[in-house]
Amino acid sequence: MLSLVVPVRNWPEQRISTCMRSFLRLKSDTLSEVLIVDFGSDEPLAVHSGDPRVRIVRVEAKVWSLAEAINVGVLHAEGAVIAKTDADIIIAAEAGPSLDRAVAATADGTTGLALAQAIDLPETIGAEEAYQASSRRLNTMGRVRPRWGQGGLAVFSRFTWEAIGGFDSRFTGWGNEDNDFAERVRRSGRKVRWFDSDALKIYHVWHPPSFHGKGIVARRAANIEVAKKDRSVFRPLRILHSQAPRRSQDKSGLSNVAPRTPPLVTIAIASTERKNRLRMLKEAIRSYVGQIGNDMEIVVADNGSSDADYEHLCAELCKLKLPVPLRPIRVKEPSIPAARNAITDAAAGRYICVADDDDIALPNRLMDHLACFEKDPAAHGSHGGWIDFDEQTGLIEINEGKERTLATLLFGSGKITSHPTCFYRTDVLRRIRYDEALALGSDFDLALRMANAGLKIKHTHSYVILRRFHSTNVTVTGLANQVTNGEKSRFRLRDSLGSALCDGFAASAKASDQLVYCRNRIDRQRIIEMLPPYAGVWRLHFPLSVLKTAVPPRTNGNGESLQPSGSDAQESDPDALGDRGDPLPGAVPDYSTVERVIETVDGDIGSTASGINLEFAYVSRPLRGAAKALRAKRRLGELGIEAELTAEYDFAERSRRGFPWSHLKVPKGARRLLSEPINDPLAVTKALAKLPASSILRGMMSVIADGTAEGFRYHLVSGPLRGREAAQSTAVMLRKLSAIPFTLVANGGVACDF
Amino acid sequence: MKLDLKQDLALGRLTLTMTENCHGDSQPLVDTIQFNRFHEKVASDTAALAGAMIASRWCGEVIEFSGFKVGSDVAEAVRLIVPDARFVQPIDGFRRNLCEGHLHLLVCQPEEAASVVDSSLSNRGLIRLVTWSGEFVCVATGSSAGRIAGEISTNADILLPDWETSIGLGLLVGGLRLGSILIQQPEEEHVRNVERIAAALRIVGVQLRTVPARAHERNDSIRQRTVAGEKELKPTTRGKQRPPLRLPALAVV
Repeated sequence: MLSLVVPVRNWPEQRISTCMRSFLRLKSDTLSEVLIVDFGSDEPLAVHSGDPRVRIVRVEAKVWSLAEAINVGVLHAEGAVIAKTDADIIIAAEAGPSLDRAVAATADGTTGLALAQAIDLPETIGAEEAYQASSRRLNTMGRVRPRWGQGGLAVFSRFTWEAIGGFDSRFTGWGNEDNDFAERVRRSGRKVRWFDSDALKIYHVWHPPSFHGKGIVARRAANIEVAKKDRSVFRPLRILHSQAPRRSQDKSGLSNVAPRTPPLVTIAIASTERKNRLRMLKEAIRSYVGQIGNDMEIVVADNGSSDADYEHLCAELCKLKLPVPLRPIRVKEPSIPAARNAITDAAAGRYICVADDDDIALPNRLMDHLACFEKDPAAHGSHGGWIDFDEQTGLIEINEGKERTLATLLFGSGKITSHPTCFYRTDVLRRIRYDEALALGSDFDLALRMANAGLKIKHTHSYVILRRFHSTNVTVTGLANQVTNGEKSRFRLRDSLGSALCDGFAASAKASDQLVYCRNRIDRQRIIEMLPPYAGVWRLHFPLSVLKTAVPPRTNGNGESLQPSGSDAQESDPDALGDRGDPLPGAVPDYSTVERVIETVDGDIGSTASGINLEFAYVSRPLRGAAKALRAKRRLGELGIEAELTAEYDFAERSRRGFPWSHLKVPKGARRLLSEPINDPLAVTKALAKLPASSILRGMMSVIADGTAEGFRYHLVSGPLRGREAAQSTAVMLRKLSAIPFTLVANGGVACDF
Repeated sequence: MKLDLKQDLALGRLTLTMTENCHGDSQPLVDTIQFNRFHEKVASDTAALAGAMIASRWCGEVIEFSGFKVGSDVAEAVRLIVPDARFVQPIDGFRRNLCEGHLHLLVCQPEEAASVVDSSLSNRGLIRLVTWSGEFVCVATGSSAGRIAGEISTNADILLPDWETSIGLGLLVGGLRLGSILIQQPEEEHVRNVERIAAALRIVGVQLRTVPARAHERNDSIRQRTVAGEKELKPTTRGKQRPPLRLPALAVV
């Protein structure tokens, strides 16, 4: 039951032997094995005791790390309780029953870490002499060490060791790894107890101080820094300094995760049979693989599917050859909260990362969640921002979320949190369960109850997922029920808090109702690159002014220009680009360059929004799928054109939005001339081109793009004109030159008489 | 472990914060226990006992109360409640706040109230029923079906079993007038702990009694509410305090 671990590196064999024999002579019912971990000694250790309980484990290591040596020992140990001691410790011959009591206390969980207080022996007593001497003599000669050093003899259960991720392998040399371990045991909710020094006596045999060794002082300083700065409780168990075996399924070469340890994170995916489930589920799973060195497992809970569907799901998941364990489980009755609770029960990870089968994790997700626990060891969970995308239309909405407090959840406005961005400690989810009485909305109810229980759920200050909207979204299909259940949960909680407290929360929510800043602010164009290749319908567009410099002239093999010297387009529209510094609204470059763009991406010239004097743009035909749109964008990029992608739906919405005529201001006593609507943008440019380039008329004209259900319509509009006669004569001149009728308008584009 | 007690009578909230101040202390899942809709003014001596009970699993060798002193009898009871605590402070040995108790409290969750009240036959006169609710979703069933809001709501049951939460709440509500606390009979595995707490409370003159629940009646009442469907979410008690129940006799267990 009890495995004693003695980590050593280049220690004299006689010392180790004395330590080992002192433990083997104990009258203990629990000591079942003694493991001596030779952590990369120059010469392999050879200690012969003749006792079958003794084993030597040797691992090659260039750097001495007492912490990692203990971890290696525990990994090889077979007992449920571990005692760790140093090779310079001798235990009193009569300490057996006391040791057994300490083992029993750690085994039943009443004590997390049992420590023994050491007595420092003087230089005059050697190891062998101390071994032979009686406790009474050693007690009188030695000096009790204060209860701050914890390394002499520490007893803990394997469960505790696993629960906090063992000793931290970042500690090199020796020192502070024991204090750090004890502190983490304590913070994990377990008690640290010193066993009475009269009952459990250990003696520290004198040896020359090891502070003089090369680099020892620097290492100890670095260790102190680690212990001070990192206040987290759970640390992933890593093999950093030795050739000890790693976890077998880690083929990526990225991971240094120790074998036989639970995964750090369980990815919890609740999945329901529906259209395109497998396609979406595979994308969701793949988005997690490769994060945090694959120190994870994935549990997929099938939620109420038929036998055939479940078998099909299992078969398909088996085909995914992943470097992480993937476990399907089944909930027979369709219930999302029941599926989530089932995953919590099955989870082996220290944390549960909530995921939906249709969402895609961003590459930073798991790392950012874990960073929250490093920053605040008392945190119970974290959540982050999310980016909604519509699989059909490609619409994108960026949501930061808000700080999750009881006040904001009860009385806050807008989008505060999204369930698939959540990440909780497994022990927390085992205590605060999803409510299976609620078919929908159990996620919001859980968030409320967690906040009410006083749990701290931190924001990652980053976007963590791409949340997919599609025809079979639960959020879409069951929105009404979700809202109703959410209100019920709120009502239940408000009632249990009382009106006075609720008033206080309402005021506090108003004061702190603000969005969180996400540091990984992602450009929309970058988001489109992260979408599935088939998602959305897109339009590529760019302002025509970029064509002036972007498109290089066509050349033949000899480098001669293939551009016609006097193309028709240039001759017919000599002033197309205008003679002002900025491009004239409606200006069109020469048609040969446009042709090259059209060869690359089919499209037309038009506007991208309603407005006045907005530059015309080249707008592609709708492109189905993000991959196709991105390919087209890349090809334009090769021509030197930086084009922008906009979802077709968004684009159509924008073009339907009419020109705000109320913004068309005319000074008091003046009027403007407004042309009849023109449908073709090229007709606008031609009409403008007919006005003499140097005339005042050309300078005062503007172009209005007005979005309608049928597309954009354009108007030419003059600057403010004072006096009836001036307006009349200008209208006549404009009509004569451009062949377009004009009317007189006042403020807001309202027609008025001459 | 340092226990910091704060009460806001206007808001109706009582909070008890567990602060580590000793090497042997460990951190509980949540360090602040709240009691909402709590409008009774708490007495320091019984609050100390309630606090000690809540903190007992995480408390090391020292237990310290912030802002008030306890009498030596209370300190002795605290040592019994927290077996690891060797040092209880601050103690004022000459204090004796607890008077002859005359208030009998029956403390339970609201959905248990019907069966417990029915089985607690009393000949002592007035017994006040105090109902509390905590986490709405039961860990065993994963469902909130049948659970309703009580007079007082608390998050103490995140850390403690229901019977311990009931005793703690009884001590806080009863204060100096407290004579006895009646709670629902806990499961077999907790009987020894209940005896230990009862022995501790006897030191300060408070009697702890357990009342058997009528299991079949309880199940029936839950079933009725479950059948009611959505109605089960609606709490039955509102902010007002219930009048004391007049019960015919008291069953001493």
